Amino acid sequence: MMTTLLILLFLCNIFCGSVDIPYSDTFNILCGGDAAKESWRFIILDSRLPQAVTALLCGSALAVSGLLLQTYFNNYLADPSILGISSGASFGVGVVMLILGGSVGIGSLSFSGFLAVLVGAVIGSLLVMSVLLFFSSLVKDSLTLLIIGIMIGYITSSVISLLNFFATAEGVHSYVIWGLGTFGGVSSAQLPFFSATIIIGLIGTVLLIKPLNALLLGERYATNLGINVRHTRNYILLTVGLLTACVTAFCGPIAFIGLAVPHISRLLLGSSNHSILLPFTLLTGSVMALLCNLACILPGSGGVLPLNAVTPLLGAPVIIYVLINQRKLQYFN
Amino acid sequence: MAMSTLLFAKNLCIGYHSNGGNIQIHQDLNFSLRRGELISLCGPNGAGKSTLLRTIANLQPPLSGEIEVLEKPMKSYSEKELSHAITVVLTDRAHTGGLTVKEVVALGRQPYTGFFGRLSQEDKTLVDSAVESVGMTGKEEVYMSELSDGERQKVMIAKSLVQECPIVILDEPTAFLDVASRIEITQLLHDIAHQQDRAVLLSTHDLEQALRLSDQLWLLTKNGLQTGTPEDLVSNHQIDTLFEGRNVFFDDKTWTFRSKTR
Repeated sequence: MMTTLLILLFLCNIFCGSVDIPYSDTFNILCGGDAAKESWRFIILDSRLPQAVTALLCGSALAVSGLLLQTYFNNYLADPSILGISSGASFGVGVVMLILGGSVGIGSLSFSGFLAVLVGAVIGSLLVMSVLLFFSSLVKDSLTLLIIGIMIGYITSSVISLLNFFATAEGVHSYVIWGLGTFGGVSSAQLPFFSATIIIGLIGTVLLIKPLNALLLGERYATNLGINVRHTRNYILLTVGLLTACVTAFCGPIAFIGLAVPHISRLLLGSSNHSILLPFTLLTGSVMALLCNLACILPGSGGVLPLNAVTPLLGAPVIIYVLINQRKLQYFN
Repeated sequence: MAMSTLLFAKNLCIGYHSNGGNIQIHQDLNFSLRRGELISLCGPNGAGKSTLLRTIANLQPPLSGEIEVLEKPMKSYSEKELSHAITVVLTDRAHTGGLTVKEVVALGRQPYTGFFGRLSQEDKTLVDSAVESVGMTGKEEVYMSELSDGERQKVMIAKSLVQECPIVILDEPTAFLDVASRIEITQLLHDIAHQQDRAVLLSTHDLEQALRLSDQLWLLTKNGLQTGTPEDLVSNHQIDTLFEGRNVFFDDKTWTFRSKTR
């Protein structure tokens, strides 16, 4: 059922947009045929299609990152943006943008630019991850760790503000626009590299299913079941770092998908068994992202809403519901 | 022929590494675990029972000394290899509320399953019989969150059974159980040791039960570890060392515990 919803939403994302294009023409263009206007062809193939694919992949990537962090930290409020990993990636992106002259917009990057931004974002997010890891060995309480994550997020944000202070007005502008979040930041030329990176990360998460289930019992039990907890942890952090960094670099720091989707998935499935929960979370993540993207273009010809204005509207109520019903939800107990 | 000593420790020193140096809890511990024996570890709170059990299960490193498992040094084992030799039931809080009884028990098969943890027919049969042996038949599909503390403990014991290890270590397996379950579980562990020829080491505060059912008794106090059969420890008046400074004594005629004041 989720798959049907996914396909439906994917098509909606291609057929709807701020420019009205007749459905018959859209269909023709998708089938490789001609359209009444050449500009329509461009809109569909170079804007809507990459945007829908990006949303599809980013949704999965963020949702599964959230799931991995929630299981690893045994904390159902963990996600890349709350723990400051997204802002770490933003910091990396900011530094790279500044080094490249501050005027480089993400959309106009060459392949080497793409790589530089990605590497910057990965290093930034891994930096935050290692700080988190350091603190997680000091404090056992997961709520404390969460708050430390939020503080790290604030610190990186303020460093980013300082960076902006030295940047050109143009650089700041492109940075602010980027910060609003959009799935439209990946051009069709960049799409293959972008997709490949995300898909490698997603395959990486599927390989974690077995140790993730063991980790539900806690680290000691997992060790006793033959899991090398240290390797698993590094592997989880590396995968989450790569996925978050890649999404953040191109789409901006997107909140709430990583936090809410694992909960939606657990609630719908009624299970925390990762053998089914993880694939389902990938799917639900894509559905949520496509839904949010669709909501962004709802104003029609009036323009496009920033993504980060939409995701909290869908995500925050889920979290509030989960928190209020904590005692009734089986996966909390 | 199967060797009878499964594990032994020589000059073992247990405790914690900390920033200011090592915090030593016990030193010069010497003991062994043999096939077909149920061993009860007793001692007052804070004596270091959990630390000792975790050290034996390699969940925390010893400060010094040696442990040999199946005639090989513990240090030479990988996590994977050791998961075939030693299984544990801990007091750690697990986050398994969203898993069914069957799924949790099946986690015990992880050392044997492949990359994705898919269960073979043999794995499934083992899971079913383990669920049955702890008396949880009919609750296979129930979520862990719906179980009582005692039932959860039984599930964790079933998990350790399907791990098929010669050495079974349990930290206070009967702590949360009512009287009936406590006797059932202890009897079950006794049977596992004797019929399946494993070594079962458990910590408990239920000394009377331990005296009655154990093949070996380990008394851990701040003065160190004393081991022996219950009969020997009783006739040497060693049980009373557990109550040093307390108002309790062991009456070796009736095998009961009594207050000194009456």
